[in-house]
Amino acid sequence: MNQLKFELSSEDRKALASLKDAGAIRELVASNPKNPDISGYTDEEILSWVQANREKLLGETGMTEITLQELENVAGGVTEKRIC
Amino acid sequence: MKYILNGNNALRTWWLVPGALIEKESTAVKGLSDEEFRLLKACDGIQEIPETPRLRELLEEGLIREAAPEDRLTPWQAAREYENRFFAGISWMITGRQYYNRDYRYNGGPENEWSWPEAERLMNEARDCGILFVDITGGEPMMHPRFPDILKGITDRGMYVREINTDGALITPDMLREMKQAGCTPEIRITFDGVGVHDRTCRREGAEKTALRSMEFCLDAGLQVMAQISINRRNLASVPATLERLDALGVQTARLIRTYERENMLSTEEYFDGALKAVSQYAAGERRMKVAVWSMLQILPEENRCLLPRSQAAYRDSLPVCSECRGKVFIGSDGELAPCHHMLDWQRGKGISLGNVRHTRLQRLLQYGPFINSVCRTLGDLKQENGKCADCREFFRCRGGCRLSAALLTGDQNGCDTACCLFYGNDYPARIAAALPGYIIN
Repeated sequence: MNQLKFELSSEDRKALASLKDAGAIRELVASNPKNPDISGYTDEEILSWVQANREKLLGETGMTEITLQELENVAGGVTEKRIC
Repeated sequence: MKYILNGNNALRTWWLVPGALIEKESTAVKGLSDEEFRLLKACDGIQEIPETPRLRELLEEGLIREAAPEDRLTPWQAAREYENRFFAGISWMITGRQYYNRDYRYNGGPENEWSWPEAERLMNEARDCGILFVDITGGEPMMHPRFPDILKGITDRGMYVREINTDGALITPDMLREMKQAGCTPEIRITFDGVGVHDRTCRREGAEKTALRSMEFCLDAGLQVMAQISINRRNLASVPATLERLDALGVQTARLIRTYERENMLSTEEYFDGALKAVSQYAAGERRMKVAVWSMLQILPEENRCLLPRSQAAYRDSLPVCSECRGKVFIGSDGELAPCHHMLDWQRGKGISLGNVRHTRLQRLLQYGPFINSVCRTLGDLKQENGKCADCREFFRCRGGCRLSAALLTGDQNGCDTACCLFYGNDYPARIAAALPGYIIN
């Protein structure tokens, strides 16, 4: 699978890095018709590929920073005193 | 020695948030390191834990205590893992039915209503996504025949009702008493168009008296009240008298928001100038009630502070275009998801669907797809799509303004929020400072 090129939004990449179910990964990849067909790969191959590419899928920011941003992004709108 | 997590805390994980500590009936969520998460997870009253400096710190912070032999975690406290992105809350339009036939209304969508079995399914799904709170809205939510059961259903599932948006016409002291007995103490947001105006805009004699009486019922019951005042040409002049009346009543917060209907809509300048004049007049007296003006300011008279719009978080390109929309999911009466309450009508008009929980599980919609792509869009993404915003020297302050405002004023969700351009271009921050002497502006 390493030779395949996928068209994924940055949020799709985060989803792909988080999904633990091969069926859901197939569904996500198939949601964009520009993506290559992965039906020929076994569930095991797909999950191994995701596992091996997890860091790459999450990008350069790194998991710790992504977590901090995720919490801050959610908190910004629901915990601040200001009313928009 | 055995230890147990404080009864108000629980451990949760979501996608991209591998360890977090939540507080009961709060939106405060603290990220944890792997070590902290493992340590706190062992504080279940059953496992023996060796004393370490970090454990002592957790004891001192009050997050854990030494466990008595009978101490066990409550079901709510059990650590849970959610297979979706983190959203703190949902804003749920439980019915599209209206009580008043108003001059204008937001969410003028179909008058669908969640049946009880559908509502139960959604509440289960929300719980299973790790949703912490639910804001109830409508239509008029109190028109829903199972309104009390919905409040109880939310509470029974370990979530809490944070706010109820209502016309207030159906509020009774008995209803509030039952609500509080069920452990439900939300902020009540009551629509009020103004002194001397409300009867006319609601097209019902006595509507004003009813709304004010309902606010009193809520205040007497110890609930927080926010008056939601939609302003346009028909009621702008009544705003100063309205704020004065609400403050005298003891209402904690009033929020002014412009309407976008064709007739009577204020221009952006009229909205800013009119609201600022009213707020300035209000702030000159001795006041307690906070006043927020949508997309403009919020004054806290007891602290002599005025907050300008936008998040306090330091600027970064990875901030969401709207932090409010990133924090909670709006679900319409027909199951449609939208970034916010007001965006739903716009989406419908454009034939856009970001997903529907009547057809697709909420968890799936909070994993990936159009809804996630919409609410997770970042300021960096906006700059790429909108060269004018990218080149603007105020972008780090305005942060693209409001996407709904951009959509309504320019027809383009990625366009400039021209109200925001005017706010900074005409230096309203300085005008606000001049209109509110003695206030700290930040």
